[in-house]
Parts: sequence; C-alpha cells; structure tokens
Amino acid sequence: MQINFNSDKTIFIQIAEGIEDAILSGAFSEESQIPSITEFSVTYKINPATALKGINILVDNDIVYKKRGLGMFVATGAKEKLKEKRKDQFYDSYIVGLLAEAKRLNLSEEDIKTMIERGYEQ
Amino acid sequence: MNIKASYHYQFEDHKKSILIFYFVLTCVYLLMLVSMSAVVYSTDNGVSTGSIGGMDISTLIYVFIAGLCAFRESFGMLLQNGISRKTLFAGRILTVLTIGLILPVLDRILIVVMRLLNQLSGTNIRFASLFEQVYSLKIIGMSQFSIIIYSYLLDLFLYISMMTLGYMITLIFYRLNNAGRIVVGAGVPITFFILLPTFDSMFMNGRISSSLLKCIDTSFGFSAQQPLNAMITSVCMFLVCSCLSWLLIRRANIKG
Amino acid sequence: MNCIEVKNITKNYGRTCALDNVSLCFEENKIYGLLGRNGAGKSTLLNVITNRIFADSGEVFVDGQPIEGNDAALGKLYLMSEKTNYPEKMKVKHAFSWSKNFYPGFDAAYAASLAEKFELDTNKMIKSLSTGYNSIFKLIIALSVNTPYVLLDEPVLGLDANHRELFYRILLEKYSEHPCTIIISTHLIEEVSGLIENVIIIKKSKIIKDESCEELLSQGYTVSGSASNVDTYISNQNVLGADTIGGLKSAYILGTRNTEIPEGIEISKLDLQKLFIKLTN
Repeated sequence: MQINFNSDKTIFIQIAEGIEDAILSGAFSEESQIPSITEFSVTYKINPATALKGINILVDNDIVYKKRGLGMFVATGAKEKLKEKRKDQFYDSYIVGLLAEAKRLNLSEEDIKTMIERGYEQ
Repeated sequence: MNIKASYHYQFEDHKKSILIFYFVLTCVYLLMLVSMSAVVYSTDNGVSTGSIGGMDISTLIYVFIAGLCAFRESFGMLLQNGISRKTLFAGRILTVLTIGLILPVLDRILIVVMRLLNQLSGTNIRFASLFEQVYSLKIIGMSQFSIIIYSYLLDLFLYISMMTLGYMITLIFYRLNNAGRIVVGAGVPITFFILLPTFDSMFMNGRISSSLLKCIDTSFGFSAQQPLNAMITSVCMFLVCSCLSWLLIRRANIKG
Repeated sequence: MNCIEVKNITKNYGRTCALDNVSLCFEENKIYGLLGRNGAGKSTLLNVITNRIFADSGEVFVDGQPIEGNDAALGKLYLMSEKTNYPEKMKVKHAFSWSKNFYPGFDAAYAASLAEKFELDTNKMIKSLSTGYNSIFKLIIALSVNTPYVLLDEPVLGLDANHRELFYRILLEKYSEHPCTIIISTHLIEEVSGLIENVIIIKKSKIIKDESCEELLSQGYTVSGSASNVDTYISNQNVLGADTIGGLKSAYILGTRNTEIPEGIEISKLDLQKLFIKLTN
C-alpha cells in the first residue's frame, strides 16, 4: 500500500482504498486484525486523525469493525461487499477513461473489442 | 508555585563552587601555617608572629562574585523549565539566605581549626575573624561565645547583602543595551574615582569626600566600634538590592 | 475549553513590527503547523506564548489562565527552540534529571530509550554536542516531558535525513498513544504536510491563514497543461500564481473546481508548499 501525497485523491480516501485493496486481494482476511491507527500514522507519516478518518469510512460501510481494547478487524462478508461495490464502480472507474483515451488515439469500437479478446486469451 | 524546584536548582548551582572555595581556602591557610612553622623552626630565636586578620574577607569576596555569576545561566535554565520569574526570584532569595546562614558557620569552623593547628604546631599566627579585626576595641571584655555570635551575625548580614549586590549588578548590565553598558560600566567608575574627587578638591575643598567617608564610617560603625550599625546597613542594602533586582527581573526578556 | 488563547498580541523591536495584533487559539490534542518565511514572526510568537519575552500589548491564556507569573499555566507548556537555555557545562543526563524536577510528568525511562534510539551519549556535556545532537537532546526532553502543550521551533534543525525520519515516527507514535497539542514551527513544509492537522501562516507579522489543512487545500486547485490552454482557462479565475517550464504551465487557483474540464488540461489538488510560497511571496 502506498500513499501518494501528490495524488489528487485525499489521503484518507487513499488509506480507505488501500485497505479495501488488501481485503480484496486476501492480504487482510476476514476476522483478522488490520494495522492500528498508530501504525498507519507512523508508517505513512500522516496525522492519526487522517488515518482515523479513512478507517471510519470503512467502519461506516461495515467493512471493518472495532473490538474494544483489541483493535480493528475485517468484518465477515467484507470481501463480498467490496466486490459488489467495485463491480458497480467498474464502468466509471475504468471504462469511461478507457474510451476517452481510445477516442484521443482514434481507436474504433472494433479495435477495443479486439484488444479485450486478446486480453482474455492470455 | 514551584519554589522548591527553583530553590533546589539555584542552591545546587552554588554547592560545588562553595566546596571548591573552602577547599582552596583551607589549603592556602595550611600552606601559610606550614611555611611559617618552617621559618620558626629554622630560626634560632624561635618566635615569629604573623596574623591573618579578617579571614572572612575572602568569603565576602567569593560571595560577591558568586552573586555576579548566579543570574545568567539560572535565568535561562529556569525559564526553559516553565518557572515564572516570580518563583525564580523567590528561590533566589531563599538560596541567598541559606548561603548566608551556612557559610559563616563554615568560616567559624575554619578559624577554630586553624587556631588549633596553630597551637599544635607552635607557630604564632593569629587567626582573626572580620569582626575581631575591625571591631578590635569592642571585643575587649567579651566572652568567646559572644565573639563567635557577633562574628557569625556580621558575616551573615554582610554576605547576603554582597551576594544580592552582585546579582543586582549583573541584572543591571543584562537589562541595559550595549550603549547603556558602556555608559554605566565606564561612567560609574570614572564619576566616582576621577570626576568626583577632582570636583571635590577643586570646588568643594574636599567636603564631599570627607562627608562620604563620615557616612561610611557611621553606616558601618567603625569609629564608634559598633557592629550593629554594619549589620543594619547590610540588611538595608540586602533589601534595597533585592527590590531593585525584582524590578529588573520581572520584565527581563530571554535574549538571543 | 482547553486551549492556548493568544489575544491581540503585538510586539515591536524598535521600529520593526514582529507581531501585529495576532489572535489565535491552539486547541487541545491537535498537531499545528506554524509556517512563515524567515523573520515573519514565528519564533517571536512562540517566545511570547511561553513568556520568555514580553509582548507590547495583548495577553496569552493557557486553559483560561493568564501566563504572567503563573507557574501552573507555564508548567503546561514546553518550548524547544534553537537557543539552548541549558547551561553548556551540564551533562545531557543531568539535563534529563533536572527536567524531572521541574516537570513531574517527565518520563525518564522513555527519554533514556529515545537517547539510545538516536545514539545520543548522555554523558556528554551540552557544549560538546554537534548542532544536530543539540537539537536531538532538546527534542528528547520535549517528547518526554508530557505537558499538554508542546511547542517545537524548527525541531529538525541540523538533523540528518535518518534522524529526521526517526523523529517524525517517534512524534506520531507518541501523539497517537498520548494525544497532546503539538505546535511545529518549520520551514520544511513538505516534510510536515502529512502530519499537521491545522495550518497557521504568518506573513510579515500578521496571520494570513488559520484553518485546518483540509479546508485550506480544498479552497483551490492546480491547473496544468500547455501554456496556451492553461492561460485560456485561467483568464477569469482567481490566480494565486503560476510556474512555467518551456511551454508547460501550472497555475494555482483559488476557487471551486468546475465539473467541466476542458481538453488539454489537468486538474489536481493544491500542494501545501506551493500554496505557501505563492501566498507569502
């Protein structure tokens, strides 16, 4: 997980998405503990309040939860929830940008479809 | 108020140099004693007298210099550690009083020890305290005990006044800017040692000098052989210097 | 409310004005960045807050109490500054032990562990420390003193990159576990931009910005692209400043972003250091 201070995405969003990516990839499995606010803060040199904000987004979406006295844990079913969310966002996150770039390069719809098929063959 | 920490620090600051001072002083006196006894035993008539009068003058000078040096470092250190100027000053006064109470005791002990060694070694050096030296007429007919008490009290009041005087002088220079320091540093000695005497002899027929001398004489009771005068003057000096020091310190900035 | 309240502080040095009617509030448990150019008034402000120097007018309150002659209020502050007020012949370990006398909350064990981490020889006299280690020993005291308000004036002065990294780690660790108010005055804006929650910018003795980092940076955006495209876009915008290299230009704009982004330009967020430079030029 990397934090890019120059990115347009605010830092707490980057923290939230970084944790989501780790859950989706299986690096953080369900019911396992994620790093503490202090660890995030110290590792990425960010204010703990910022780290907390990012984690709170995940808490609000029932992706992680807090066990009193112990720390933050990945909720059961988090992976599925995130997959659904990412599926919904897939079109906006990837397709829109892809088609805009294709337009800039004068690639036709056929060109794109050929490329996608090539991708699936590999 | 955190007076305890303020007092503790300022007193500790002096402890080491006090020990060194008395160590050096004792060595010096012992050296004198040893060299004198060497002289005594090497001459035929075997009788030699000497006197070290006003032994506490060394302590008086030491205390004045200690007062001069006490301000700068402790000011920075205490302000760094969250002590207000008020508490700093309160600790200062307590330190001065403690030193004023303890040092004369050490002086008395030193004199007693020296006198003992003097007797044992057969030399004939007379060790005298400041009180005995200056008020030599007063001590006639006084018991040993009274002499010790008077010596102790005289030292106490002199020390606290000289220590506060030194502290105040440093404070004055600290508060002044560069120009002011030159004016005071050069101006005061020039006025008192050159301008005043010249003016006095040329226009006043020496009346200023003589009245000044008379003033000092009365304040310290020299002619009258009255140590009480000196004690009262010292206490007044201590109070005046303390008040002025407080006025100077309460608005003193940390520099640099 | 627990805070350091600075009210209408004015300080002049002769004819130069160092602080001009400055009013601020430092709330509890936040990390503040105090930014300003050389000579802007940052150190003066910190010295006035800790009563090391006297303002010409105005007052400072700590948790509602005035600081003047007030040990209780002053005991809640610790200022680590460039000037070393410790006696130069004092050994570092004695500076630590005296700190315990003055600040009962001083954690001696923690200070010792920090000294080890920084490889500081506590047997050394303060005058024999290098510039970097001089800062380090004062930093260690500041981190161990456990006062509700810790003020750091150029804390990483003279520290090498490794020690700076170590310092920030330790600072965040400590802040995370024992929240307090930390005010960092620094020139190294890029290094602290992630740490600080609130930003205060002083320009020529006046406060020009006093808000959260988030608020400050969300007030505008950066526009980059070819110079001609950018110029077209910014023609009716509130432009703070711009940087040009060859035919490429980046302009810094105050205002809300348009949802419609024209071809050929890129929008990104404001950078704190760039914003600071443009605001204080």
